[in-house]
Amino acid sequence: MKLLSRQEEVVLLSIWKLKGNAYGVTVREYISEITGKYWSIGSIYVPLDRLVEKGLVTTYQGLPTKRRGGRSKRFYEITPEGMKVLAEMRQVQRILWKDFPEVTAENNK
Amino acid sequence: MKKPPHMAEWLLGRFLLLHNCSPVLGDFEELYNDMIESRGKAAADLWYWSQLAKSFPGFISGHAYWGFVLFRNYLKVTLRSIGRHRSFSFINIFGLALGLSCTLFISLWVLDELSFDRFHEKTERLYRIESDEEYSGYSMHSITSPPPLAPVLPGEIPEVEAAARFTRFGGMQLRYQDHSFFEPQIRATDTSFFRMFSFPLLKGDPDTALRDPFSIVISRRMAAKYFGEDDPLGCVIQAENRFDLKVTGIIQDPPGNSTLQFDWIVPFVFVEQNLRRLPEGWSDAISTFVLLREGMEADPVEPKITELILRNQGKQTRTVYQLAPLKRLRLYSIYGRGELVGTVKYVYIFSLIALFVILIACINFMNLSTARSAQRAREIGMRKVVGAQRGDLIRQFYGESLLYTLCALCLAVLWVILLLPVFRTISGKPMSLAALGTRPVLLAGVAITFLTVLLAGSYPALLLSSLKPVRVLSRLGKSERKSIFRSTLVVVQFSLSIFLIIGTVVVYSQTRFMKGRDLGYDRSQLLTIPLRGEVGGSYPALKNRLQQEPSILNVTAMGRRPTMIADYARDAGWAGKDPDQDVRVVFAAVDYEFIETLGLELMEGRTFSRDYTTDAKEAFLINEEAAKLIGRESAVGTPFTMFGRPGTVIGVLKNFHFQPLRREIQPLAFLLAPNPNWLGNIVVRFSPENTAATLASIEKVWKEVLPTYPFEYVFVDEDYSQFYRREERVGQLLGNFSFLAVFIACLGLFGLASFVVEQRTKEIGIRKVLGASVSAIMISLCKEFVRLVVFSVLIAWPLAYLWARSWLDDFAYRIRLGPAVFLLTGLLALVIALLTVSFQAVRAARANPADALQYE
Repeated sequence: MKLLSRQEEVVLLSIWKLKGNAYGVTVREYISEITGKYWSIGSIYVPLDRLVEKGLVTTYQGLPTKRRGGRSKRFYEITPEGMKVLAEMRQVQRILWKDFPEVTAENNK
Repeated sequence: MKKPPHMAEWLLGRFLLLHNCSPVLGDFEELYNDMIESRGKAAADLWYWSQLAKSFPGFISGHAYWGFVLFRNYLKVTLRSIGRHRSFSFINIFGLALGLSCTLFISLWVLDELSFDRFHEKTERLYRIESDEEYSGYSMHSITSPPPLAPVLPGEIPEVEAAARFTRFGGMQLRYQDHSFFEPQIRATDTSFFRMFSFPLLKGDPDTALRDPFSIVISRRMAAKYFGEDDPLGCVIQAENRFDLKVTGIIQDPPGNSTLQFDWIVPFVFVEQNLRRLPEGWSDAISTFVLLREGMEADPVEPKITELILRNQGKQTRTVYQLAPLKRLRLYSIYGRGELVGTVKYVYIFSLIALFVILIACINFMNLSTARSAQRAREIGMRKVVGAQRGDLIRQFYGESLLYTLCALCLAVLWVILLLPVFRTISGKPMSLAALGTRPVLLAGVAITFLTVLLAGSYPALLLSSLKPVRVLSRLGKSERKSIFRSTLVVVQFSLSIFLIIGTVVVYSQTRFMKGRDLGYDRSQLLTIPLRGEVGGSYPALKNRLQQEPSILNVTAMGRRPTMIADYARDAGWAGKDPDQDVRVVFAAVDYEFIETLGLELMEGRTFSRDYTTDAKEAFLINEEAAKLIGRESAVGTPFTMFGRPGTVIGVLKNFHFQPLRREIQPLAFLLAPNPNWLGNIVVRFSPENTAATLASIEKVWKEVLPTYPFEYVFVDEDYSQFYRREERVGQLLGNFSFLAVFIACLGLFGLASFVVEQRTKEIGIRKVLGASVSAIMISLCKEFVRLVVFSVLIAWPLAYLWARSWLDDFAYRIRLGPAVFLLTGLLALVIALLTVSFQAVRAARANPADALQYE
């Protein structure tokens, strides 16, 4: 099985979440929102490229828009392979997290 | 919708190391527009630029890393290819090195010529006074001016800051203790000389050194010759056994690139007052140099000088005086009827040769690199397949030619250092190793290297990088088409080489022609003995004694040496002369027996004779040219005057050469010297047997009559040859360089031939198996090359002809340009090319076809 890095996992999941509207800008916005951290464009594209290389994600060109200076969007879509890997990842996590006590961030101090 | 800053967007596009960056740039632009809406344009611009700044370090490190990796790979591949194709690499590097060393030598020579007289601090403001004298139908350029001019110039013309006379005056006999020599390199000048020119005094005060008329300034080498280790300052040197001159300064030896050369300087006043050697009054006799005030132009000053001189001469002449810039003297000075005696022509010729030779060497490189393109094609194809851009490949091949050129440069510099002494002798320039380290030479070296890389590397880089990987890798690329471009280059190479050979042959034969020309008298077994300074009075005694020697056939004397009579009289007149006709006649004072000693042919009348008492004062002998001027059927008996001295023409001499062959024979008049002081040289005709014994007996006589004066002599034929030393030098240099050019071109041809033979090995094998003879195969191999050489010959002929004609135009007496030179050179080129190619062809044609065909 293929193990994904945390960034790859997050990016892959957000692509799935964004369903057909996943391209550079939206993916970055979504991830920045849920993690509350600043993600630069570069830091999105590195895991994106890697996911494409691994065949977990495919891309297709959108229509060029004026807002983008006449450049088209590159949309990302999760492949069946990608879905499989996500499922496997969840399986691994479930096993690993099993029986771990419910703690909050404060308790851990 | 707003666009982000154009510049930033473009840069960002270059910096992103992704191969498809368009959507990413789109993302950036979208975010940029969002930011304009939320935070305004300024903040958005700032953000965009900061994104750019952030991407920069990654860009640099990525490039540097991959650049290094690629460079290591390129270097490895280049070294391997040098190693694998040793003979090609040898030809390339050797040829380039030859070309480069040739070019380096020539640039040394050219830079030295260009640096003449530039070392003076005030060189921009220094001028020599020259003049154009108008005669009927022509004008003569002269570089002399009147002696009284310089002292009055600064006072009369406000633009002139200072002026100095500078002249040779025939040398003096100098003595210090037991060192006694005749010194020809003495110059007379004025006190302002040291203020105008940058000849630093090592010892002594430049302001006062020439103030006392009896002072002398001495060069460092002369100080060593006369005084050894001692300090000469304040010592007294005796001149002409009469004058005591005090050494008031030691001057640095004038550098080799100075037009003004001297070993001794005496005050002009000394010569003026004590030696009656220069004409008095306002006639043109000496050189005058002028320093203009800062910011002054020469043009407005020239008419003022002309006016000043003409006013003082009190004569109505149409002479125009000019200021010739000092820094142009070496290259552009003209003389006589506008003959260019400056070296600029040779600067052009040699620069052109340098370009030719380096071009020939570069063509070798181009041809050999592209001829091997089939072998390199796989590598190029692979590189392209794994993602090399065309730019990468171009860079790789430029780098390769840089490596070759640098190797060649190292070799070339080594050769230049080793061959410098030889070059020094041929060029006659005192060049030292230190000259190699000067800035202009280094700059020229760098420029030449880069030019070579560009010339040699461009074609291979552009051609090889354009190969299509699919063609190359699918075996289709193996079929090497005939390259028209390559053939053209070979034609260019050989045309240039043939051009150079023809040029060399023409220069050689003209020089030989001049040296071997019948001058109108027999110049062998003839010698002249200079009567310097004060010894003229002893001439009658010497003549008397010399005539008694059995080995001496004839003794006479004349003002100048017979090879170079160039004293001009403007006032020659004769009965029936058109009063408006303004001519100048060369004159020479001679002694009795002059015509007999030289063996000049008399056409009409008689020679000077003691039987006619009037001859001493009234007789003139003229040459054919002068007779033509007079224009009578028989010039004999015509009343003739010169320097206001009336007389008659007693005879007409057949034309003979009394000046270098550059110049046409001019009208000439001989007269008997009124007193021995007019006679500067004894001329002796001796019998051909045992020259050494004759010389010894002459010296014995000299020592008896003039024990304190050194005995010197010049053979007339040697004296004559030295006029053509420059042509000889040029011929020699040209010969060497054209030999190199031909050699390099042949190296290239050799390489190309071996490449063709290699490619056609199988074909030759099959031909042989099918019964072709060795000669048939040779012919098929050589045919192509012969065609190229024939082409080159046809191109080179007209060009060389044009050049040779224009070069020969400078000589009044010149060889005829017959077809023989051209035909022979063409044949020579063909033979050389054939020999080069057939060396390879024979090997291929005689090889056993089984060897060629066994692998398939």
